[in-house]
Amino acid sequence: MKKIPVIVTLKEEVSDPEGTVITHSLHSTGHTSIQSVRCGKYFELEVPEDMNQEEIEAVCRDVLSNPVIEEYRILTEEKI
Amino acid sequence: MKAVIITFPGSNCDQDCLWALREKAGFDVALQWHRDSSLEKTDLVVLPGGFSYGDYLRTGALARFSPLMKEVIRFAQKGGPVLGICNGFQILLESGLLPGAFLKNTTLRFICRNVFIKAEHHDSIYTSAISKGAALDIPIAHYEGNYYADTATLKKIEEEGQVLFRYSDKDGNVTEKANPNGSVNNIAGICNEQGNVLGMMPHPERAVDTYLHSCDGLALFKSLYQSLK
Repeated sequence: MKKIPVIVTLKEEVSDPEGTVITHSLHSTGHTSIQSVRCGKYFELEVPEDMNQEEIEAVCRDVLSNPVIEEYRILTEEKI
Repeated sequence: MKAVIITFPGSNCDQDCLWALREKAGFDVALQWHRDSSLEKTDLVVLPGGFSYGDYLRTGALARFSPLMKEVIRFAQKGGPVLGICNGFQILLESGLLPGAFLKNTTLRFICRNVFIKAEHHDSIYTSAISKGAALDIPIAHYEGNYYADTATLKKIEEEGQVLFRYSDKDGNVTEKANPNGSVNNIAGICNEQGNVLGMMPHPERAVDTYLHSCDGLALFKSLYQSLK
């Protein structure tokens, strides 16, 4: 088996009010050098070693993210 | 005239819709569980509000995989009227029956209060009995009702008359101040190209009697009843 980490975030052109509020809070607590914060979701998929990449991409694209507003990134997989 | 209301795990407006449609609008109504494999013969399908699947993943994202949704999509594609209210609207977007997506309200708050909405035109089965120019006093109750569509999609739905409801003030003026959640162009409800599928965030079923503060939601159900007759 292997573990595939996936991160889903809002597309850059889509505004992220949650990230904006966190940025403001950081600024008000003195962390003024932080320019901006974007929020997202993190998933870990536990899958068989030989699962094909196309299927994994389809799951990320069609289920884990909503392509109208979100994009996904598959991070380095880990053997388990 | 028959309506079928689909109940998902976490739906909480199914009984309100049943009462509004049956007692106030004169429909025969059946409730169907989302795991049913076939849709009863019906003139109208309603996807009610609530928190289907606990809003896990994204609002409406998991409900679209319910077995009965396949039948609902088929029904809609054949021209059958499908009304999605609040979480029902979110399910319609996730199912691809309507364009766009929802973001969190710009206030980052769950908003539960009465707002005014205005019908954009009256050539729809959902708006034909609504008085021209009237602002309807109808409640909203949502955290993710900030409608978003990319520029091309927005242009298309605006040009094709697919925007059916916008947030307005009590006189029907569509202003930034009257926009409760940040929805682009004050959009509160849209239909598909064919006009048979409507999604709206406000809850007309919660505005059908004087003791509910407003009766303005009735006009939508009456429009449907008269149009489908």
